[in-house]
Amino acid sequence: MKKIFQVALGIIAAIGGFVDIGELVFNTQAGAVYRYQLLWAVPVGVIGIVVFAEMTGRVATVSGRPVFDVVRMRMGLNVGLVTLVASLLINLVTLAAEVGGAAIVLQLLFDVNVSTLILVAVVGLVLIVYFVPFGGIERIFGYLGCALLVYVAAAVHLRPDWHQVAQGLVPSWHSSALYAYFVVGVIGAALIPYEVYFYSSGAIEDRWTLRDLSLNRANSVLGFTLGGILSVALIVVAGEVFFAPKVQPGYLGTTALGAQHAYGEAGLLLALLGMLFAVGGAAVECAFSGAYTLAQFAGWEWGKYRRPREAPRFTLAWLIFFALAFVIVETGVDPVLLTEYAVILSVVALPLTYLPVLLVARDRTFMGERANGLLANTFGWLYFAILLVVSLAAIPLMLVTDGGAG
Amino acid sequence: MICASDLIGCRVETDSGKRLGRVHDLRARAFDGGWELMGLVVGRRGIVARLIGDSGPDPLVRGDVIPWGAVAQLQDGLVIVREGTTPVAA
Amino acid sequence: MGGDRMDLVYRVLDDQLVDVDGRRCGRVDDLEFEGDLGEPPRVSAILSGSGVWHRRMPRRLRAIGARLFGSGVVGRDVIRVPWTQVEDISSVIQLKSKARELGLAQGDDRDATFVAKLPRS
Repeated sequence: MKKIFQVALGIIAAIGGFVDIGELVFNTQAGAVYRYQLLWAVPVGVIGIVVFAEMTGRVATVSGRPVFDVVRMRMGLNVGLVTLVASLLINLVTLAAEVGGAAIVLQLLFDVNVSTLILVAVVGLVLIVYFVPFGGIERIFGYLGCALLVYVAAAVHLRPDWHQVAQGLVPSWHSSALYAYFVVGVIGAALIPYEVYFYSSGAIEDRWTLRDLSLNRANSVLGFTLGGILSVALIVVAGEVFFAPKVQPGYLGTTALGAQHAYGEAGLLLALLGMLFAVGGAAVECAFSGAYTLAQFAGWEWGKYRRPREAPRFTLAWLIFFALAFVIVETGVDPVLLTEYAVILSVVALPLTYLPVLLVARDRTFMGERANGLLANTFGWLYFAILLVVSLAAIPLMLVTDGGAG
Repeated sequence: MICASDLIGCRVETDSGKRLGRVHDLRARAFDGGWELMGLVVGRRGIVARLIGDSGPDPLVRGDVIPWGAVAQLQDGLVIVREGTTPVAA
Repeated sequence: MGGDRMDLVYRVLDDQLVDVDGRRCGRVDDLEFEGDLGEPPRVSAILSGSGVWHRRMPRRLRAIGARLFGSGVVGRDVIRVPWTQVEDISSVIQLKSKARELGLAQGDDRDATFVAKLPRS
């Protein structure tokens, strides 16, 4: 009974933690421009992250090696360095986007000047991360991020044409660069690498053992899947509220209006609260992910489970990441623009991070009997092919569509 | 005194200039409590094998091996082996 | 580790070093062999530190690599760990002594004095 309770809590945390600013921006825009026609891209992305996360979680549990340890070990120094630099840059841009997003949400909640709120957001996050143990951090942001479930309720409440919604879940094609750009964006937003770096290092932070393997697998599969439903709800609500009047949601506030349309002020408040914690949680994962990446590549001691003085360079790394993100956001750059760059750049770098994990997950030297079976191998290679295609198309599409402006 | 970095990535050629591939791994044999270098893992198969990996429990990577005894000379970026040496699949 | 043979790049190079207390203290960045062409070279030491990275980079990038990561000054940007210090090779390279005694994790020790000033560190 206690195990079921634990799994349930883990799932709740995963749902709330699944959505970040990437989904909030891309899914809302996708719904506004194409209504339900991009819904199918969400399950494609969700299955991708489930496959990827399952492998990295299993590799971390069985071999004790988190993702970047695997990247360095399997691909060597040179490829590892390139991947490191790319990952750190992308992580930083993503972190800045999340921090900027959190500041915007704070401004929608409290009418204070945004410069101050950026500082509040960063300081608040740093304090929580520094003083709260790892498990507690996951829970705070995960549970409160579930306020976003108001979108699932809203999606039903707004009575969409369910026939059209069902049709949207079937892959369709439009020979338009803009459509392809959104396909890349919606899939990419689900597969942002920091989630996987964080997940695999988290497996070691949480001290998963072999006995926990199937439990945690259930956790991640169910959690990400339900998170995917939340993503779908974002598209449906945007489709209902913004498509007809042809509103282009270029602001985060517009996304929140979707919930207000269904449930008034209560809906708006829940949406904003959920966005704040989902985005805040994502910021934490991002900062840690950067620190994990750097420390694991170099071989330094790492982990939130260590006292700060036992993993000094790791601690300084995530503090410095927050500081750098703060500087970037204070320059006044649009967080929505940052988000688009973060997602597109992540997509480009995905095959580079994904391949070493796949190779180690199949390798019996490291995994013993827990190496990939037929199912994992099939999906693993299939997704590698999908990621290659998507990563090659991403930048050309971004340039051709002028960042989704059409 | 040599380092692994001196050998990895080097081209391997015979005296007469015939190319045998690039060094992708260093095969060692347990000896007297330590390890001694017994061969260089080379060739196109070497890199594919290194990336794809063996799904067996062996710590060895499939590839062609040039025995250390065949090495005649080490230059910067180049390993020259005796004429007539061919890599052995191992 | 199966049998009496092992591929060093696949199994040792770039692996994590862990000291006798379980502390992570760097990676295997290069390996040193002793012996000459007449006899099979024996693995004599692990070289750990960014100072050897430039030797592993593509030729044209070596100069930049040495500037960025260090040129290999033993004791400063690279540490030499005698192979006799290796206890076990599994998913990590387990060492017999403490990192400090071997000269490893100097960066962490240095920064620890600063981080220790933070509250509840």
